[in-house]
Amino acid sequence: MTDLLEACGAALRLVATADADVVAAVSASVRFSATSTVLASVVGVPLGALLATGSFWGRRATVAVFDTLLALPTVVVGLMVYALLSRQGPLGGLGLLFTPGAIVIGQTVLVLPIVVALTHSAVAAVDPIFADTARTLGAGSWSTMLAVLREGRLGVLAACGTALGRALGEVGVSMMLGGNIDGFTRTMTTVIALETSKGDFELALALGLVLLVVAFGINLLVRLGRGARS
Amino acid sequence: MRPPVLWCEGLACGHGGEPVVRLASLSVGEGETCVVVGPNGVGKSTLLRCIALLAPPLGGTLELLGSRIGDHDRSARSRLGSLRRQVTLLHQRPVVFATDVRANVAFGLRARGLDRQTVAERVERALEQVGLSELAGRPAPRLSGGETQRLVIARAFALETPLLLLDEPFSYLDAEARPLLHRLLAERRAQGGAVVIATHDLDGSGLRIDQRLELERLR
Repeated sequence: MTDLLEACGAALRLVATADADVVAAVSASVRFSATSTVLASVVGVPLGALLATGSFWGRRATVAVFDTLLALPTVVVGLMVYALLSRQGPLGGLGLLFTPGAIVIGQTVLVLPIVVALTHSAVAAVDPIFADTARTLGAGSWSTMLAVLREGRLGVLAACGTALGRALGEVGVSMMLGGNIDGFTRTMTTVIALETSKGDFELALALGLVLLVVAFGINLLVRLGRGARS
Repeated sequence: MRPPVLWCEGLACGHGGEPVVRLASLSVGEGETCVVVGPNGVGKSTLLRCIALLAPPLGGTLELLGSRIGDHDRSARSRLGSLRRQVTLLHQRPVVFATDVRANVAFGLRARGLDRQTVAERVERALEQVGLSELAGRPAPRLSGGETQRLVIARAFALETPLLLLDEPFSYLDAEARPLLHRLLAERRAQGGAVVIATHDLDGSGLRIDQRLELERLR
C-alpha cells in the first residue's frame, strides 16, 4: 500500500514537472489518435449519413457489418494491418511498418466502424420530416443528406469523440504496428504496458492519470455539446 | 391549350405497397384552388406526399405540368428532381432547419441554383411579407411558435412554384398568421399558381375554393 502511494506521488510529480518521457508519450498519442480520428471521420461521417438517408441495395447488410465491427478487438486489427504492411505483405514496399503511419492506419481501421455506426444511429434518429422538408424545398440527395446531418450534428460529434477516445485508449494496434520505439512510436498506452511489465509503476501511473484526464475531457466536451442543445 | 398544373386519374397512394387513398380523377389548373376534405386518418397527408413526389404512386396516373409520373415511366422518374422543384408542400407540422431564419428561406432557392443576388432579393422580400425581416439573423429553432409558422410560410412562398400543397394549414396557424396566409394565397393564385389544400375542417377558413374533393376511407 505504501509503495503504491509513493508511486502515485512520484507519478503526480512527473506530470506536474512535465517530465520529458511523459510529454513525448502524450504528444505522440494525441497526434496519432487525432490524425486517425480525422481520417476516419472524413470517410465515416458521410458513409454513416448515406447509410441512414439513402436507399440502395445492400444498405442493411452494410449497417449490420459496421455494427458488428464495433466490437473488433485491437489485436485483430493490428494483425490484419501487420499482414498488409509487413515485408511479405501487399503494401510491404511502402516501408510503413513500425512507423507512426502504421499506427495511424491501424487506428483508422479500428475507429472507422465506430464513426460509421454511431453516425448512422445519430442521423437515423433525426425525424424523417426534416428529409421530407428538404426534398419538398427542392433539395437533391446530397443537399438533403447534409440538411439531415446538420440536424443530427451533436450525435455525429459524439461519434467522433467516442472514436478519439477509443484511439487514445487502445494498445494492441500501437504495440503491434508501431513497435513501441522510444521517441518515435511510443504512445501513452504502450509506455504503460512496458513500464508495468518492468515493475516501474511511476511513469505508468503518471500516463494512466493523463489518459484518464484526457478521456474525461473528451467526455465532458461531448456532454457540453449535447447540453448546449437542450 | 396549356395542360393543367396537376392532373391525376385512378391515382392510388399509400405506405408499404398498401393503398390508403384512391382518387378517381382530379385536375387543377393555373390560378385554381382545390380543397381536399375528409376526416383525420383518411389519407390526405399521404395524397399530398404522393403529389409532392415524396412517395411513388401505387397505381394510376399522375401528371405535373404535363409530365407523367408513373411506376413504369423511367424517363419521368429520372426527371423526378426537376419536377419536384415545381411543387412545394407545406407540412402540417412546421419544421425549421438548425440555421438562421435567412438561411432557412434561402434553402430551397439555393437548391434551385439561383444566383446569390436573386436569392438574397427573394429572401428579403419573403421575410418582409411575413414581417420577419428583423429576425433574419436569428437561429430558426429559437423562434416562437407564431414566428416559426410565419417562417415556414415565407420559405414555401418564396419558391413561387406552379403548384403549392398545404397540409392542414389552419390547424397550426394562430390568429395573426391566418390573414397573412389568405393574402399570400390570393397573390399566388393571381400569379397563376395552383393550390391544393388538405383539411379536415373547412368551416370558417374563408377560402376561395374552385374545387372541393371529399375523401372517404378505403377500408
